[in-house]
Amino acid sequence: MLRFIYSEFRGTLEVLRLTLYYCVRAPWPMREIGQQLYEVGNRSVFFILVTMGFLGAILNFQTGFQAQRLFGDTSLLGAATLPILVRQLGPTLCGLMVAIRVGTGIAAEIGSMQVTEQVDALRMCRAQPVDYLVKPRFIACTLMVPVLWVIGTASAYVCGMYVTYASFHTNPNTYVNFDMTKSGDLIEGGLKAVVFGMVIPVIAGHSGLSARGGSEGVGAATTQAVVNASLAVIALDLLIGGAAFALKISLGTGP
Amino acid sequence: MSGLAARLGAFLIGLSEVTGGLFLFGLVVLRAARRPRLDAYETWRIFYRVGVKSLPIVATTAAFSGAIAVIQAGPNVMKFRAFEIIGWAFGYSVFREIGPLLIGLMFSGRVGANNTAELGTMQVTEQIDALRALAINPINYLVLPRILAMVVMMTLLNVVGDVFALAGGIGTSWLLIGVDPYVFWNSFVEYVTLTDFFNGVCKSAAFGGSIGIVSCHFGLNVKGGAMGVGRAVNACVVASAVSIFVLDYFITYLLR
Amino acid sequence: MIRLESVNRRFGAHPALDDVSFEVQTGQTLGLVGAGGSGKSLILKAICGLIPVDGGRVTVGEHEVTALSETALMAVRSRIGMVFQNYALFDFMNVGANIGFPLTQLGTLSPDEVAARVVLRLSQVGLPGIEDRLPGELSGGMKKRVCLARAMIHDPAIMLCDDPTAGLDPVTTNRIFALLKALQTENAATAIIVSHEVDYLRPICDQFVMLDQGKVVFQGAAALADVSDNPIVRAFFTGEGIS
Repeated sequence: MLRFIYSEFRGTLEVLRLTLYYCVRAPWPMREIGQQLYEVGNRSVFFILVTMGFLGAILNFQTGFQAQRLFGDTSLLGAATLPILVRQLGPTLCGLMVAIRVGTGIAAEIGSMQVTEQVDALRMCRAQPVDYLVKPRFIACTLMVPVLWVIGTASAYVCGMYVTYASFHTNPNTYVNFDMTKSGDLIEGGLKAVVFGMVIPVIAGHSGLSARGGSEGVGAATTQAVVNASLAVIALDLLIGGAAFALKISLGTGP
Repeated sequence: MSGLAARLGAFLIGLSEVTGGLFLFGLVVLRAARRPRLDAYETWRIFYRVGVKSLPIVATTAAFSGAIAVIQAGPNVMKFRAFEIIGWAFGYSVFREIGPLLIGLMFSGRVGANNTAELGTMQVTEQIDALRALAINPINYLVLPRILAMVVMMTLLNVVGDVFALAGGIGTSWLLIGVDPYVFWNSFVEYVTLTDFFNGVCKSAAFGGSIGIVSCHFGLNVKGGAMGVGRAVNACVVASAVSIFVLDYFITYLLR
Repeated sequence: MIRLESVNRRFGAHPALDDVSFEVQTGQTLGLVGAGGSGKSLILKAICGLIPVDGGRVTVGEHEVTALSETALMAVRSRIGMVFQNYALFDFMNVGANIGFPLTQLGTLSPDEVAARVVLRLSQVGLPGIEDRLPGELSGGMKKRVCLARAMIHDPAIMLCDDPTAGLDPVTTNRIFALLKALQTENAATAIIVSHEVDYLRPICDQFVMLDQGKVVFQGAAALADVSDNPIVRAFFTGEGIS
């Protein structure tokens, strides 16, 4: 078990190292990157809008009932939920959704190329699999996940606004209130989004490239990709969140 | 313009096909469940695999989610020096919302995706047809035990996960904010009610059922070899995530 | 020239290649035969450096493949044409782009010259005018021939064919072996053909190597195999039952 985790970790780091190496040392295939941007961005945006919209609605429901019970007042709901949405729930849930939607896609695609020997054929034609397959997806995800974070957070905020209006009769003008949201929240959320965008394609690419055997192999690689990528998102969220929290305290600005 | 309309139409038709297919499949499963004939050995094997094999991942996720909840509540708690409510802030958000949600998403990745891949492989290698040829109903033999196992195990895993989340929350608030575990525990016991706990348990049972139906549906409808299995797993986790969020919303609304 | 010296490869405790040694002279054709899972495909991949070996040496020409880095292997691989068992056609490219891919990656020819070569090779394998189709739309025999065209597009000095006729009907099988022979003679290439169709291989192979559970159990001309002392070898080549 531990040895398996260790070898997974080392393999993923190796793919990350190669990806960064080729990003610097080899030309960027613009057409392929454009295709992947479309694949990652346009084709996930509906999914992100729906899931994040529901998330915003749920968040405002839960918080609203509590606020109503404790303070009898929901006027600060929008102001209070926005920073949490921006720095934590937005990037993390967007990251999980991208791990689910895009990560499995990458693993399925590269995995089925691996089991049908297409990856070997690439290597026979002087094309490095990481350079040729992982790099464009890596660049596209790194650029697109922050965009999806913005769109998803906006969707959650707007759906939250509708729910607070419908359930607690809070005027949208009162709801839209950016007072509690600091630039630090934006930086933390954006950083998380970029890091998740870098990590997901690398993990999924590694799972795909280590697929073995026929359709079972592809299935196993895809499952492994979604589990590893989601765990990585949650763990990195904790790590970055904890670091940001410690930084705020040491700077004396946060609380 | 007409191209855009055609693509939008194709997208909507695809969406309705998936929704309708899932609904019909759910009805078929329900009809089969009226007279369940479960194969005892197969059912036991599935229960073991679904429950035991996903325990490590669920425990890890739960501990992380507890820690994350504390970090997020941290700034406000420190601002108002309101250390006695941290257990409540933690318990309310994790037991009701973040716990079942994250555990559900992880469960759909670990168990749901695995299930689709397995059934999909059986489909492309004609094993499902072989079962039918032996007069064994695949719904009774394959699908029912899986859905049952997912509902039961997801519920139990959520209970276990709550314990791990509590440990993660107490540990983090002790190390990072300096709240004494005793203070945390007191505030947790004081404010968090059984309703919060059962709210989360209801959610996870519903998530388990929806993950079961979605993953079996996509697994049994795989077409086209290895690539098809990969695509089905992708579709399964996407549909599971949407169903989790939708169910979460309605259960939150009904059990407020 | 291709030489393997006591090559070993194991998966866990199970030895997949066990002390395999043989040699193919330049311009010769070797038939590599054996039952499924005896390690034939692994040998081809080891020759290209696609899989690492646990022990022993593989030499292709003047290069020692087993000692080269992935980057240095590129030079060796560009002299090899490989026909994969599962076709390995890139399913996101059309047939023309697939066949031209090795040349585009080499970057020595202009796109027009590449396209001309693709047209020539496609007509040679008897599939003219399918450049714009996608691999998914082709039948198994067509895919094999497209794969052959891709492997031979850059006139490789070494041809490696992994079961080029698996699952094909006798007519197509005949056609593919004739094509292989023609391409091999045209380039005076060194070739290794993995197959279990011994009868088709006899006229085109200079010598045979037979593997059984990762070990070399026979090496030499087909006539010698028919009268081998080893009943497994005799059974494989003549089709007689093992007593």
